[in-house]
Amino acid sequence: MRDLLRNSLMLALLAVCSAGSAETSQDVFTAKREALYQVRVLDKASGDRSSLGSGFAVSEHIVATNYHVISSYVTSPERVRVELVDNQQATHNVEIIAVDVVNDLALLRSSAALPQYLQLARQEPTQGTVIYALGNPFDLGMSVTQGIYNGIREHSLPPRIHYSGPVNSGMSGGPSVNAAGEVVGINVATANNSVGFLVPVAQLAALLQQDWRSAMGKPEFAKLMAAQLLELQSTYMSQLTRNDWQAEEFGGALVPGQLAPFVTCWGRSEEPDKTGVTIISRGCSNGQQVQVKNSLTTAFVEYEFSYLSTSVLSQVRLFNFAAARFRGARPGNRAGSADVSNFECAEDHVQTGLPELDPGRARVFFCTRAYLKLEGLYDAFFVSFSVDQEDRVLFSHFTLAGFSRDNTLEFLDRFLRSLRWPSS
Amino acid sequence: MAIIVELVANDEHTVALRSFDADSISIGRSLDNDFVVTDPYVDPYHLRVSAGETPATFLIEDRDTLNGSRLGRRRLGSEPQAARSGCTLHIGKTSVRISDSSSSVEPAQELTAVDSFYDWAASSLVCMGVLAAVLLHASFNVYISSDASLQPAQYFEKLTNPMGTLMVTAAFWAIVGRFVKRRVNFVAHLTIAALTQFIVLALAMLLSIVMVNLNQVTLLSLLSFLARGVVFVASIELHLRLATNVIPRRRLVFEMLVLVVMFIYPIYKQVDGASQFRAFAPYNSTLLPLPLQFYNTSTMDDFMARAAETLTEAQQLASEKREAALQEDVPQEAVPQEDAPRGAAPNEQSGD
Repeated sequence: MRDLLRNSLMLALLAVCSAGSAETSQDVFTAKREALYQVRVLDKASGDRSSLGSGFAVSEHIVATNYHVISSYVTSPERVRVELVDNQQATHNVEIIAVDVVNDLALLRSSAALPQYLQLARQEPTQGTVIYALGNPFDLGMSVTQGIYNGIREHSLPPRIHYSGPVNSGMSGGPSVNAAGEVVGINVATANNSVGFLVPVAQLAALLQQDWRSAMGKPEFAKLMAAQLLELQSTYMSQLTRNDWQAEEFGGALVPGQLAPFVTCWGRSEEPDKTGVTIISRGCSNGQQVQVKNSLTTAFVEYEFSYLSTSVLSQVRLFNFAAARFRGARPGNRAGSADVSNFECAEDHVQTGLPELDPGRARVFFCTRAYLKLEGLYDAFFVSFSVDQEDRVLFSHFTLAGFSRDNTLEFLDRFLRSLRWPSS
Repeated sequence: MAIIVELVANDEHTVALRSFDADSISIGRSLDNDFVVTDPYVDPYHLRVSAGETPATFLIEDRDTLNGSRLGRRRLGSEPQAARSGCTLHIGKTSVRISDSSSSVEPAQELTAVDSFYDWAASSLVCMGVLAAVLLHASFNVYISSDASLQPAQYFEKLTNPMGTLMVTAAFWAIVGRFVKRRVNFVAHLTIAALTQFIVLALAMLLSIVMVNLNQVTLLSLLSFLARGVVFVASIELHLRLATNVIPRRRLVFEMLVLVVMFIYPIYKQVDGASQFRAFAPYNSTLLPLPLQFYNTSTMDDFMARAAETLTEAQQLASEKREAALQEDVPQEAVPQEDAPRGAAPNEQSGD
């Protein structure tokens, strides 16, 4: 009976492939309805839902979803459990067998055989193709949205598909499929009403091919995730250090500009109307952090400069102004006390710039904290103020989140060398 | 029975004493009185004091004077009034104590250092000098911590704050003094309060100058808290000694209480904050109060070596924390520590 139904649906699907898009989305949805699941993370103590997402079957026993949907299970399995809800509202117990924290993917295994599963698309769609995002937004029930495939988002690291269509809360982990019903991406995030992001299906295919069976067991997940994050930061670092850091003129100082394609920079300036201080600021960061859990975000690079100059304030007033303005700067990522050690700091007046030139002098603060479970990763936080000029101050700052010891030190070394005044 | 008349200053100290071996004496401004008071508000013949019917009592008669007389707070009528030995009479602006021979006269007490300090502080010239120093110091602070938008009106607004605090403090101690009937001198208490303020401010500045090169921000704030605590407690001790006659042990308890309330909690918060990184503001101190020549500058290599050490130390902290977590065997509660990311780029919201 079911086969009959499916066959007739397939026929219907083939029939509408050439028809209008409204019908196509309906058909895609109807045809793949049985492969879609709501992923529920339930709080063991209260029995209530602690997070909801979507997922889809990729083989007879395996369901794919986003890592961030089930992250609380990975990080504290004693407190929550995960279950799947199918289109008949029946629940299935599952276990987590693989995670890819960097690409935000997870694989769940159901002991019972699943009735239907989706095929992964072998080819990337061409830009402009209509695709469909499936999922359960706001727990309203399984639904489908239609949008346009806009290629891999420029400079994003890890890669993301830019999907011009709605992706809403609760659809995370659901598939985005082409008209043939093949998975082209996994819904992951939204930036705006109709700018959504998908994980390319290639990342899922890679995860499915990995030998994740050897990495099973809860403590191993931490090791696996640490390894994935270490690989990501080394990719970051190799891009950041590919070239010598070209010093660009910035106000009256020289600072590095955009260091790598995955980093974007924003600028701002303030006139000295009331304060008597002109301020030029530049902030660069990779907008996309990896969320390990609610309290921990990582894989983040940001660096900022502010150039303050005055013709009316005395040196001591200018310095006080600068110190007060940037008081309480913080690292740009989130980390809880159960995720990282306390900060260890070093501070001093340090020579900056290139040794062969007349060195600048800056008051430098450098703090690091080590990750507890994701061993080998560190957060670094750097702040410096130039103190060798009477009428100007260069404030510099960087945050490196989830970097290795060696890369942290290399970045610091390069950064200190890059801060200088133009030779007169 | 002898009648002893003492001229009393500040309701406390005897400044002149005469003993009369008579049953009745007269007190007044005129030279032919038994006890002469040179107070223009006292009548030429003001009081008559005679021995009472029972020992250690007197009959006091106001001789229909212009400004009258008071026994304690009671105004005397024209009828003679009975009074006990040791009572204090207020006539004009003068106080006299009447007693009989049976009450002993205490030997003179030596002026303590605190007393002389109090007398020094009570001089209005000294007070004005100290206040001027506080004002000068505070205005310098306002100046260096402001930008070009500072208007004269704001300047004075900022200065009225410390001055108001001083006035309130001085008034408080003067009232406490009044209440327990010890020395009451607003000016003296104002001087002490101002002196405290000045020392604390100067200390903070001095510490920031000295310590800015010691590279220990947390230590700096702890020390400055401690120093402020010592100065404040010293000032409270001074106020208390002068304004009250609370016995020393109670005084100590009180001071400790003040110390705990005012300083232990902020210090605890500071340490706690530093460990949580919540209150982390590494460049809280003045950046460079002195010209650059006064500070050591490390080479970049030195600093890199120290940065490497911090990484090692952070890893050590982490492994201690891991072991502690293992021993507890209870997973720690995750407390989100930081606020929203400061990154300039618009952040994605995850759509779970």
